[in-house]
Amino acid sequence: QEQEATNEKKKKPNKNGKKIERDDDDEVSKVCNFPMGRIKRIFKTQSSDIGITGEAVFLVNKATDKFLEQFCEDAYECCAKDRKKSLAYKHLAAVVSEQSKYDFLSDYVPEKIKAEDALAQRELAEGGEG
Amino acid sequence: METEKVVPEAEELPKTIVRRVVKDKLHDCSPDTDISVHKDALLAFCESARIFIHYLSATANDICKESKRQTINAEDVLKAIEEIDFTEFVDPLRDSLDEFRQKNAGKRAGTSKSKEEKKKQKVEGEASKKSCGKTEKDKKNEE
Repeated sequence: QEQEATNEKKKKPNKNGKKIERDDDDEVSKVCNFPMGRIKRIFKTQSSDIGITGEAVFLVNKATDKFLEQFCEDAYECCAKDRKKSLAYKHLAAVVSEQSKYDFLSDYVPEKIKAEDALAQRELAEGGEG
Repeated sequence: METEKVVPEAEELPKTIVRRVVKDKLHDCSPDTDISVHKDALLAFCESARIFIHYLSATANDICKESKRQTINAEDVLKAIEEIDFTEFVDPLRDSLDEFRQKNAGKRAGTSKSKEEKKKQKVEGEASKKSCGKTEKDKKNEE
C-alpha cells in the first residue's frame, strides 16, 4: 500500500508537467521562444472575429523575439553611452522617444518625469492657452 | 489596488522567457562585463513585447481585411512587419518560416500517409462491397 501511495505521489507532478508542456508544442518550442498558445491568446483578445494560421502565429512569435533583441540592443547602446553597467528603465524610455519605429510604445514606455515638473509644465500649458 | 493587474496573467508573456532573451542579448552586446537589468526595465520589456504583438497583429488584421479574407496568413504578417518599419526582420523571418514549413511538412507527411493508406483501404473496401452489390444485381438481372 505504501508503494502505491508513493507511486501516486510520483504521478501527480507528472500530470502537472504534462499540462504545462501542452501550452507549447514540443516540436515548435525548439524553434521559437514563446509559447504558441500564449501568442494566439494575446492575438484573440484583440480580434476574435478573424482567424489566424499556425504559420502566422509562428511568425508573430519569431518577430516578437527579434523585436525584443533589437529593443534590447538599442537600449544597451543608450546604457553604454551613459557609462552604466545596469540597464534601467530610462534607457528604454530614451530609445522609445528617440527612434520613430518605437513610436507605438510611446504611451506605454514614457519618459519618467517628476510630478512637480509635470504639474509645472501643465500650469505653463494652461497659462499659454488662457 | 485593482489597477495593478489590468492585464490578466494569461495575456502576458512569461517573464522568465523575456528575461532570458534580454540577458542573452546583453551578453552578446558586452561579453566582457555583465550588465544587470533593473526590475522596472524588465517589466517594460515584457509590456513592450506584448504591445508589439498587439500592434503587429492589428496591422496584419487590416491587411487581411483589405484583401477580404477571413484568416491571417504568413504573408499578411510579413507585409505587416514591413509596414510597421521593422523591414530588417523580414528576410530572417522568411528563412525561419521555411524551416518551420519543412519541419511541419515532415510531420504532416507522416500523418497524411497513414491517413491516405486508411482512405485507400476504405475505398478498396467500399469498392469490393459495390462489386459485391453489382454481382448480386447482376445475378438478379440474370434471373
